[in-house]
Amino acid sequence: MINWISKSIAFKLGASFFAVFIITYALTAAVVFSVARQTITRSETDSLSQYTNLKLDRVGNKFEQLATNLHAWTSLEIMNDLISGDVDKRVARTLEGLKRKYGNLEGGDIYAFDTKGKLIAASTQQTETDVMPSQWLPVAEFKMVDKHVNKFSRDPMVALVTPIAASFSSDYQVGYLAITYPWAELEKLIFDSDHKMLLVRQANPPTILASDIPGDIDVNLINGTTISVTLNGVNYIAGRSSTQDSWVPDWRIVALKPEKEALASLAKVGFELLLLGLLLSIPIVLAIRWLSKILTDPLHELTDFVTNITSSGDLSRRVNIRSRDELGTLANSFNQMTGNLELITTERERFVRELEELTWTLEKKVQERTSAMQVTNTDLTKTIQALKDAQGQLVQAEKMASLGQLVAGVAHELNNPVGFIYANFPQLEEYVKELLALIDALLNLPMDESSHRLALRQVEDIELDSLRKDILDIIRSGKSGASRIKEIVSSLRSFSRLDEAELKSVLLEEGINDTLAILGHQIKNRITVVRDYRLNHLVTCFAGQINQVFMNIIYNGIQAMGDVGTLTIGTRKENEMAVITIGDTGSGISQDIIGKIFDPFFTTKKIGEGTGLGLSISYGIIEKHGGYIEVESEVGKGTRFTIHLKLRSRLERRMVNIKPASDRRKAV
Amino acid sequence: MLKRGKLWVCGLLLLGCGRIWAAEFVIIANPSVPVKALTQEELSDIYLLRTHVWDDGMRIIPVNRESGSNPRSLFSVRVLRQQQSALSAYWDKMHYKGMTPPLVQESDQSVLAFVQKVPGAIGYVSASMQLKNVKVLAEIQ
Repeated sequence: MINWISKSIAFKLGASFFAVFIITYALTAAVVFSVARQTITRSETDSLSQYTNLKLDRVGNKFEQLATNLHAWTSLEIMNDLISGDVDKRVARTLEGLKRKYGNLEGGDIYAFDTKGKLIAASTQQTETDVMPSQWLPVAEFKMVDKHVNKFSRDPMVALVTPIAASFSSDYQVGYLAITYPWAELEKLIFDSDHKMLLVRQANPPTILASDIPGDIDVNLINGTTISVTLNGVNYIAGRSSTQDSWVPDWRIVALKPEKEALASLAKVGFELLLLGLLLSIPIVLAIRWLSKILTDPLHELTDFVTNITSSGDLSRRVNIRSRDELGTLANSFNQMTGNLELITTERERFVRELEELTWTLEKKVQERTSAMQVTNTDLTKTIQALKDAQGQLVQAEKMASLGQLVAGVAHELNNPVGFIYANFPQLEEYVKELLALIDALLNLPMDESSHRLALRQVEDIELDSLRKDILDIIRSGKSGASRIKEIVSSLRSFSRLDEAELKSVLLEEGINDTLAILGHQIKNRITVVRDYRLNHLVTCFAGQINQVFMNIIYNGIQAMGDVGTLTIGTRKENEMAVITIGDTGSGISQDIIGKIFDPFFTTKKIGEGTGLGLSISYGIIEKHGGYIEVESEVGKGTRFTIHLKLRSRLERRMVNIKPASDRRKAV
Repeated sequence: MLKRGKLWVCGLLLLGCGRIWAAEFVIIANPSVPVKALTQEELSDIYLLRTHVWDDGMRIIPVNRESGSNPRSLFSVRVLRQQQSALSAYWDKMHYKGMTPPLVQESDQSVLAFVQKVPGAIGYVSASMQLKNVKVLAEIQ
C-alpha cells in the first residue's frame, strides 16, 4: 500500500486504467461467456430439438412411405382376389413379389386378410395362425398400430393396417391389408452414435418406447423443460422434438448430447475472449500510457516548474499552457499566482530597493549636506580669508598704487639729476685723469730740490699714489653707482608703467633685464641667473604689462628658491611666436594645486607676502595678448613657466580703434 | 330402363332356348342381381361398359377371364363378337375414360367365388362347373 501510494501518478493512473480495463473486460467477458454459454446451450438445445424433429420426420416419413405403399397396394386389382379367398394364389404371389421388390421390406411383412379377418395371403410363410392379430383390430379405416408384439413375430414391431376396397367399387370391402415394420429398424432410424436418444410416447404416465440410455430415466427429462441432465456422472444437454407427426402424434423424441461435446465451442469462445482481451490490452495499454502521459505531462511540467521556481526563485517563468482542461486551468491559475507572486515580490523588492535608495539617498544627502556645509564652511572661511586677503590686497594695491605713483614720481624726479650725475662722471673721470696727469707732469717739472722735496712731501702727505688709485676707483664706483641709479630709475620708470599705455615694439630681453635689475637686491649673489637670449626680435606688446608678468614670475621663482638656486631665463623664436622660458630650481608646485595657480587669490604664501593675484593677472595679460602661459613643475626640482607671445600681437589691430585709457590707469 | 328390362327378358328367353344344345359356358351372376336372363346384346352392353347398373340400380360388376385364355377368347367371339385384341384396346380406352373394365379372374373357381360373394357381379364359367349360390343368366354355346 505504501509502495502503491509512493508510485508516480502516471503509474497509478495507468494501473487504475488497466485495472478498470481488466475488470471491465473480465466482467464483459464473463457476461459474454455466460451469454455465449446460454446461447450455445440454447442453440444446442434448439439444434437437438431440430435434430429430434428431423428424426421424428424421418420416422413419420417412413410411416408415410409405408402408408403410401400400403395404400397403393390396396388399389391393386389383384386384391379383388381376396373375395375369392385367393384361390389362384395371385395375392400371395403378389405380396411375395412386393416384398422382394421392396428390399425385403426391411424385415417387415405384408399381410392380406379377408373381411372376416382371416389371413388370406402374406409375404411370408405363416403357419402358426390365420387370423388377424387382436392388436390390429378393429380396422375401420387406415390405422397405425404402435409398438407391439404379436403372434406373427417375437420381435416388437409397428403395423399399418387398412381395409381394402374393391377396385370396382369403393363401397365394397374385399378385406384388409397390413404391413409390419420391425421396431429394430425404427430404432435404427432414431438412434445414432453421436447422441443419446429417447423415444417416448407421451401419455400419463409416459412410456419409453426406445432408449439407448442405460439406467433409469428421469421422467422430468421427458415431460419437463430440463435442458441439462446428469446421467452416470456425465452432463448432457437435452433437446426435445417440438413437432408432432400425424402418424404418431404422441411420440416425442428426446436427444441428449454430452455437454462437454456441445460446449466444445465454448472453450474456443473462452480462448478467443482471452485472446481478444490480450490483443485489446496491447492498444489499451498503449492508449493508457499515452493518455497517462498526456494527463501527467502537464502535471510533470507543473511539478518541474514549481520545483524550478522553488529552487531558483525565478518567478518570471511561466508554465506553458497547452490544454484547456482542469490542468490547463490549474496551470493558468498557477501562472496567475506566480504572476501575482512575482508582482508582489517585484513590488517588495522595489520597496526594499526604494527604501535602500531612500536610505542611501538620505545618507548621501546628509553627507552631501554635511560636505556642502563643510564646503560652504570652507568657502566661507576661504571667502573670509579671501576677503581679508582682498582687503589686504586692496590695501596693498592702494599702497602699491600710491607707492607706484610715488616711485614713478621719484623715478621721474631722480631721472634728471641721475642723468646729470651719470653724464658728468666720464667728464669727471677725464678731468681727474687730467689732474693727475698734471700732478705727475708738475712733479716732473725741473724745480729745486726743496720745492721738489716739498712737493714730494706734499705728494706723500696726500698719499698721491693711493689717492690716484682711490680716486679712479671712486669715480669708477660713482660712475657705477650713478649708472645703477640710472638703471634703477629707468627700470622704475619703465616698470611703473609710465609708458604702459603705449603698444610698442620692444625687445623683451630689455624688459627681462629691467625686471632682474629691480629684483637685484633679491637676487644678490645667492641666485645665479642664466640668460639664454635667442629671440633678438622686436615684439609688439604693452611692454609694461609684459614686464609686470616677468616681474611676477621671476619674483615667484626667486621666492621659491629660498637661499640658493639658479634662475634660467631663455627666449627664442618659435613659429612666429616669441617663447620665453623662466625656470627656477625651487621647491616646485605639487600636482594637486598646479591647476589652481592661475586662479585669482590663490596663494601659497603667508598673508601679506602675496596677494594671490600675481599669476592671475599675468595669465590675463598674456591671454589678452593672444598668447598663453604653460607651467611645468616637479616638486623638489623646480618650476618652469613658458610664455608664448605672438610677435605681432593681435592687440596691434585694436590699437587703431581703442585708445588705451592711460590716464585712468595712471589714476589707478 | 323398363323398356330395357323387357328386352332382357326376351334375351333370357332366347338364351333359355339355346340351352337345349350342349352349352360351352354359362353366364352366372350374384343372386342379388335382379334379372333372370340376359340376351347376347345385353351381355355385350354390360361387358362393353355400355350398361353400368342393374334395374334396381345396383352396380354391374362384370368379371372376365385372363387375357389369352380360352374361355375369354370364346366369350369374346361368341358373345361380344369381337377379337380379343380389339377388345383389349377398347377396354384400355374405356379405362382411361374413367370406367372400370371387366375384372379378371384366372380360374373358373375364382370367377365363381367372386360372383358368389360380390353383389351385382356377373361372370362366365365353364358349363361343367358345379354352380352354387349363383344365378345363371344365360348359357353360351
